[in-house]
Amino acid sequence: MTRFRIATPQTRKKLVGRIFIYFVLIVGAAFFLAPLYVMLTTSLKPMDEIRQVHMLALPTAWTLAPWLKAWGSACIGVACGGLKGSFLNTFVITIPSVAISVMLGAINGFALTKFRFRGDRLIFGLLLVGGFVPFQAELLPTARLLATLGLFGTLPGLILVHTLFGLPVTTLLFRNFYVSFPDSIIQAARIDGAGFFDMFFRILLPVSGPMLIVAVILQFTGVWNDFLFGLSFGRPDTAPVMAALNSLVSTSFGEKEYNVNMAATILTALPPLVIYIASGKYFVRGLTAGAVKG
Amino acid sequence: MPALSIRGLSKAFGTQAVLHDINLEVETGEFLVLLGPSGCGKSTLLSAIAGLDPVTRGRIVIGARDVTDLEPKDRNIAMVFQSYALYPSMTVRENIGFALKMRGLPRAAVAAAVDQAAQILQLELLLDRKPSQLSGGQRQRVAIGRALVRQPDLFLFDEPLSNLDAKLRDAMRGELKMLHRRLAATIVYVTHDQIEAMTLASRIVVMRAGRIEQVGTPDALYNRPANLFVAGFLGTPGMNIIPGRLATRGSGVTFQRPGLDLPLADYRPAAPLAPDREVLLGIRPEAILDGSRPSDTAIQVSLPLTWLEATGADTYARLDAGGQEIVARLPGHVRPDGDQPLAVWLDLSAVSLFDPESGVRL
Repeated sequence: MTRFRIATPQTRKKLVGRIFIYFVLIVGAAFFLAPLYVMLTTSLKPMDEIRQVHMLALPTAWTLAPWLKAWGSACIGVACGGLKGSFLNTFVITIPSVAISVMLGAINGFALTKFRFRGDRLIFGLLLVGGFVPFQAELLPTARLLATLGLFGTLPGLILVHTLFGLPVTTLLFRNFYVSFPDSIIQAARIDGAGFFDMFFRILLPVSGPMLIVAVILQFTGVWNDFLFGLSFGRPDTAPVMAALNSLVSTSFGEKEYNVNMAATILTALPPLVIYIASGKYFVRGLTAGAVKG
Repeated sequence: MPALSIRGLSKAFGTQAVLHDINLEVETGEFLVLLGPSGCGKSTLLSAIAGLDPVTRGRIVIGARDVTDLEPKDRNIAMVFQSYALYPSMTVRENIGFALKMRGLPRAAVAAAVDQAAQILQLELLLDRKPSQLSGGQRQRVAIGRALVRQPDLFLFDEPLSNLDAKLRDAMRGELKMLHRRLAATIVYVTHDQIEAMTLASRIVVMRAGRIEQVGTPDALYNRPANLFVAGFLGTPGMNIIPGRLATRGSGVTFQRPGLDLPLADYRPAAPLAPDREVLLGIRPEAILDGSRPSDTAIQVSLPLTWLEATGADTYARLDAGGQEIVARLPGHVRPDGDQPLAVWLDLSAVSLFDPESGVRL
């Protein structure tokens, strides 16, 4: 036993290990944060500074003009209204398709775990397969379907597409969540005279908070970040923000405005980021959530 | 009219038959216990009565109604589950009132019924708690309250006490017994615990492998088991089973094996006993006594003592009955001398005879 803290070989070894770990972590974090840093600083610089000063330098003449332009007046194709129109489109697409696909996924998960019916396994199998087919392979049939329904190029059409393509994931999530929900509670509810939707809305849904958050985050990010469907099934006036951003960035109309492009990109990435940061704690809790304690 | 009658009930999962032609009648106000080892089909039978699982064949009649094809909610039954099965997001009040709410009763009527049930079960102070804030015993009381409030024709209990610790289980057992008396309710109760069955039941149904082995009062099952399975399942330690032969002597029949010669004049066989045949004699450990002669039908034998277990209240003496070990339950203070053969009384009014082949009581 020692009265004083002496740097024994063991503690020294521990310290060296600590320093090494932190060094690796900091380098790793810096590596992954570097693009964000470049984007942020670039978006706050005027163009001549971008041309003349090194990429990693902080702005000397801070300006918000690129952000305002990206939001309100940048030219996308022939229209010069910035991203705000397509931002609104994306919200109009994302909110209902997330809400509907999460709710239907939860109902599917409940039905597939707590009820035996003819073909239940087949339906679940087909849903799983549906979740693994690459979207590209389904583009043409989906386009035909939308055209037949008269929804091609419309916001309801995009909502429908995102809802359908979101269902396999949400169903799987809720199925795996509800599997651990005690069957005896459902039996008790049957004896008490509760119907399918009574059970779902009064008993299952109130304990599904963690999984609802996971499903909403996954779906929101997926739909918000979608480029393929937006590009394929949207028109200029119904294009979601990802498609608009692509047009904005790739428009070669004289000088490339890096600062505007960066500001537009950050704006576009902001909503999913906010959702992650706001509910990250619940996200992890939901992913690790297991049995429901009665 | 019986409160519940089950006629020719069979149940199979795929090709796996789990209940074979069950026939059973339960009188109004009866406390019927389904007892058996795990996998004997007692819980499946209860599920079938509740309507949670469809049956393969047979009818279930509750009161005057054939409920075989009715949904659980239309059978006017209530069930208490081993895991309590409380609705986790609802308060105690909402849990108890849920069935009534689903029936569409007005709010005031639901509240009154909940209050009444809460009063009976002393849950008044817990009404606004969630199940997760309750102890095991409290949860079980809420589950019973949920059943009570519906005023069902039939209460079904599926091992309701087996998740509780031993002390609480004893207390809840007493409460259940009182509740049954107070409500004059008809109860079907599943358990694998013979103490629960013996203390609670007005009649016990012993089941094994999807068949009913015996139905009767706890006394009848304990004292006159219909077969070796029932004899061995009830009682701890189990009934002593001694192989031997029947012989005729004078007007009566005796049981004989080396070192034992027991007159069975008082035995009431189901059919006249054929002499000179192999039998198994069953005698409970408490029918082997020391001290003075307990009854006219007792005879004294001296048997070598092989082992002694003092448990405090009782002393278990293991005796060698001609090569067959038997256990005697003696009072706790008795400490026989291990070197001497122990002179004990065998109370022959309390023996059973079984056929060695079929195991059926003779």
